[in-house]
Amino acid sequence: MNDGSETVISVKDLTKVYPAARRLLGDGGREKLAVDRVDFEVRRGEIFGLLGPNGAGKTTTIKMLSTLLIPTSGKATVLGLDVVKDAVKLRPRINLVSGGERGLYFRLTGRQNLDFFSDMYRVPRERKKTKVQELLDQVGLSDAADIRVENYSRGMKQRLHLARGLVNDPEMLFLDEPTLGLDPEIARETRALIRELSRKGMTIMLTTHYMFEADELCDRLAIISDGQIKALGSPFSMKESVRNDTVIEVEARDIGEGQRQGLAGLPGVSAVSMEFLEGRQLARMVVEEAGSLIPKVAALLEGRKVISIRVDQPTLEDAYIKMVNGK
Amino acid sequence: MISLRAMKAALKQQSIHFFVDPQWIIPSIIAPFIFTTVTLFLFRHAGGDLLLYAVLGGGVLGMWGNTIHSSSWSIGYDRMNGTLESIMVTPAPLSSVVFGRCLWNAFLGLLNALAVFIVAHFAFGIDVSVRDPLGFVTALFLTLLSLAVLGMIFGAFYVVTRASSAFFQMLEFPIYVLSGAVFPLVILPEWTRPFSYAIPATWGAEALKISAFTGYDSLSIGLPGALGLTALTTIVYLLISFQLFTYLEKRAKINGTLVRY
Amino acid sequence: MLRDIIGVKASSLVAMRSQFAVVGPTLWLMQILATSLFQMWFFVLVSDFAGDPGASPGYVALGNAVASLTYAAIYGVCMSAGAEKHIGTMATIMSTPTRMYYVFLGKGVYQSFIGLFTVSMSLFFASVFFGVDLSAAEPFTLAAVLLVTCFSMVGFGLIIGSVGVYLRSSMVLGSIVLYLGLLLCGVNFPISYLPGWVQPISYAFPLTYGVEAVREVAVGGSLGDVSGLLVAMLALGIAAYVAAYFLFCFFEKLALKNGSLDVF
Repeated sequence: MNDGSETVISVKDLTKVYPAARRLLGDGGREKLAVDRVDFEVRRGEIFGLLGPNGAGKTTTIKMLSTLLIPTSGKATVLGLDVVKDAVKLRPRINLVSGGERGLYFRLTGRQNLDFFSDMYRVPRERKKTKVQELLDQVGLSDAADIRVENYSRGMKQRLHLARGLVNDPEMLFLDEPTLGLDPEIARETRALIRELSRKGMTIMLTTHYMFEADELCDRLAIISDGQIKALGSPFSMKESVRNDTVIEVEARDIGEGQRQGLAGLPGVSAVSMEFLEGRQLARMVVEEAGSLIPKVAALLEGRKVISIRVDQPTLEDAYIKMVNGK
Repeated sequence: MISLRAMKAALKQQSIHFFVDPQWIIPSIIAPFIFTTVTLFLFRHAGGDLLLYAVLGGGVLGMWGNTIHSSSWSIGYDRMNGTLESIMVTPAPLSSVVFGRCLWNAFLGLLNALAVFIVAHFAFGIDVSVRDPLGFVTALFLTLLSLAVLGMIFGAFYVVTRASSAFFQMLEFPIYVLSGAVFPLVILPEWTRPFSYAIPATWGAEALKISAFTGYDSLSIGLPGALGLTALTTIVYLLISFQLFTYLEKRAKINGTLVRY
Repeated sequence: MLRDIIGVKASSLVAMRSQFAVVGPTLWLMQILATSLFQMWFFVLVSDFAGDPGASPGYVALGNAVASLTYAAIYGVCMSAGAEKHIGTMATIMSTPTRMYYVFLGKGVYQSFIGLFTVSMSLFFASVFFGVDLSAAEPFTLAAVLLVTCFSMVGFGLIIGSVGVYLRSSMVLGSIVLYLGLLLCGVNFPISYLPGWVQPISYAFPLTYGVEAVREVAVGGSLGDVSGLLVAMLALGIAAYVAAYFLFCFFEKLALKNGSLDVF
């Protein structure tokens, strides 16, 4: 767990602009500002999260820190090494798990995949076989070790990804959306493994867009949106930022973007999110004071089929929405 | 930087892929086999050395064709699998990984060549004995090495853009023409010579022909000369490939193209 | 019926757009023209060195020009099956109302345009660089021959492509057929050079008739002179399209039963 002492990752003014594609004929598109002057630090032993919507710049940030992308400007060091100039020295000490259906050799078995990456990470030869078996045991793939990855389920592939990520006993582990697309049970096991690794002293940085995951796992997190850090702190401190706020939750039928914008325009409303469920919609408004607003909400939704209006306590998700979407 | 361990691991991995799904060797075998057979039919009224010439040429084409397809695809396969980033985040130099795979592909190219010789001997009754067996074997291995190195050049470009495969497929037949594998270089126009001389396979094919045929030395360089030039061009391309990998990896990381397939 | 036609059109458009998403038009054009030109040059040089009057450089150049159709018509259609599989869209397409046959037909339509363009350029290269005299060829007759050849070869490509629905890929089979064409179809030397027992196999390939028809037209043959060859190609082509339809149905069922739609 976090002992708050040593800085493992230091990021200052980090920026990434993807250049426009060059084509001999036709338009290759515009350049894209993916990460815009972000600053943060990660301390040894903590689980640090990057939370944000799709396209926020989370993956770009993590790839710059894991030496897969060269920043356009700014500086980042991991374990005291510059991610650009010292990339070769840094790689033996870190690892990146991207997850998903890709990223493994699907015609090889799980064991063969780990053997290969053990060689890539120069795991001592005398230790390699034992290490691979230990990893397979740790992630629960011993029985499937000699089956080709193309026959693995999604959960098994994710577990193999994690095993690959641990093959070099990294001091710093980057996890990019580690539970994306997993069923709840496998996702829960994955989070338990991440906590276990952190307890053993590994520093972990993960990206996620699952609020509850960030809340559950992270010692500190940064909310990133449109390439910029909107907030930085512990999940508790972020929830504190909306402590004095209230949430009005409206459940209705036949409301849409027009009504959402109308609600967002009411004075005293910080942010509005809309969730579309089966046959109904759920609008959540973060407000300073609910009492005076409820009549205005009802008036705005007159003529619509309102099922319920209720007042709620703000969650981390509300804090996130306020920071990402708020005025 | 070279990592022998990474090379060995990549060679092993490539061989496992081959044995799991060997069907992919067929396009690499069938092409030179067909070209050799076509050449044999065209040379059918001739005899002796000319038929062996066709067989030898077909063998070289076999090695070359396999290199183009397999070596550029070695990175293409990583792009398809999404494993290119997984490899590049490791300490192993990508050039070593690609070279290991190219060595395996070159070895398969050798099997291609052997298949051509065996079929030529048993199906067409062609005498495939060579004048200088030791020289021939040396030339063969040097040619294979040169082809592996050329495969690295192709692989390097594939790191930065998936379109490079199209570019290098385009080179397949020009190389067949310019290397003079199936006919002497002298029948090509003079202006093509610099291009021919820049290809290691040209010198490799020349060394193979000098060691196979009695009295053959179309460029008047002798076997040591041909072997020397094969080795020299191979070393030059090897050095170029290492520089290319460094440069092209950096470009891919600036452009963010590692993940695109 | 209308839905199927829409499916054919949509598939053609996707084939074109995805091709140019990876390789820009310039590089794509360079690739197909360079391949055709240098393949022709390679065999012309071999023929020149061999000095066989029955297979002169002009003979070889013209044969290879027509054979350039094979890349698009057969290999291009086969590649589509492999591409759909490893990108993972084959299962998605299968779940739509449009039959896989029509999807591949769409790809065949697109590849037909590519093939006709390639063969036209190849004939141009043959006449400009390798001394093939096409001045006696009647343009309408030549166009008709090329169209019918392309039509029948795409049918062939569909038969091979159907296998790719079930197996990991039909690209291997496609490449075998691609290269066999150079050996068996009178492209580089007369079919009479082949052993007797092999020659009937040559006449199972539409390319054989196409090459022979183009050779006749090149020396001034009329539509009537090549009508027999055209009829043979049309018959082969129609049979191929019909066979492909049933093969697609068969392999689709097999793939659904064995779960091989996603296996590449």
